Amino acid sequence: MLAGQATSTVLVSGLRVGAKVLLNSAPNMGGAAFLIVAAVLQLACAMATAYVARTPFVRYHCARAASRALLDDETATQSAFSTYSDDLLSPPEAGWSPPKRGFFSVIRPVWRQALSLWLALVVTFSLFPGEITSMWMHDPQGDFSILRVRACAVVLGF
Amino acid sequence: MQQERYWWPITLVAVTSVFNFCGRIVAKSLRCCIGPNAVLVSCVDACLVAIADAAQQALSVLRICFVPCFVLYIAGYFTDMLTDQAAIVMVGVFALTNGVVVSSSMALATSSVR
Repeated sequence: MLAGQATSTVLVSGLRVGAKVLLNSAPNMGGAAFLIVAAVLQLACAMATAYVARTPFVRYHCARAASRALLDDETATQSAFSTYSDDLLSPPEAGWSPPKRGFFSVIRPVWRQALSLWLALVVTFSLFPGEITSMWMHDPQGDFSILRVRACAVVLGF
Repeated sequence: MQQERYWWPITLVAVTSVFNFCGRIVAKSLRCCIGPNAVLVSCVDACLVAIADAAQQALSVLRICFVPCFVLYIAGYFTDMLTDQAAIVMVGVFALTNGVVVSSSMALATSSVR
């Protein structure tokens, strides 16, 4: 999932570079072409997601995951119940419910990773895309043809 | 010529996207060697996991330094040091560390509570 998300950003960058290369003389057309193609791609992704969810492969794995979760719940119920009664076959008392995992019991073993993830995302979204796209060259007399080649090379060469 | 200037932010976004992807690939490669699902499970591996965990947390804290660096570049201070080439390198490192930290944090956290 993470690699797919990163790949989509590379593809979008490639699309933007391609639109600017092909329609550099008409920047408004280039921007419009980029947005239209991106919208079509997003629509295609939404339709593909709806289609994939209905495929036998995905339905099989969803059903398998659901049955595994149910099994885990039954195991947890049995282990919790065994602390109150030696006889696992006897029915639980009325009003008894299986133990539920609270927020802190889940977050406790992973709080360091959660904190570092939070910090990383705070820094990232503080700077990207707002600040990075508002950066301008200090030397505007630079060779933009080289920069154009570099931008294409970064995306296409990758 | 004015339109040519718009290549600069496009290049920066392209560099960010590509290096973010590279960071995620690096994190995935590291997880194959180090981590709960690694092939090598030993005392040495446990030490490597602890070191990788600490390094990842230190990296996420050190990434705060990017904020003043970018602000200084945009404001035009220290132009001798914060050149345009340095900005591209800075954006690349920023994206690479983002990919590594985010990917490894999410993978380690989910494998810890499984």
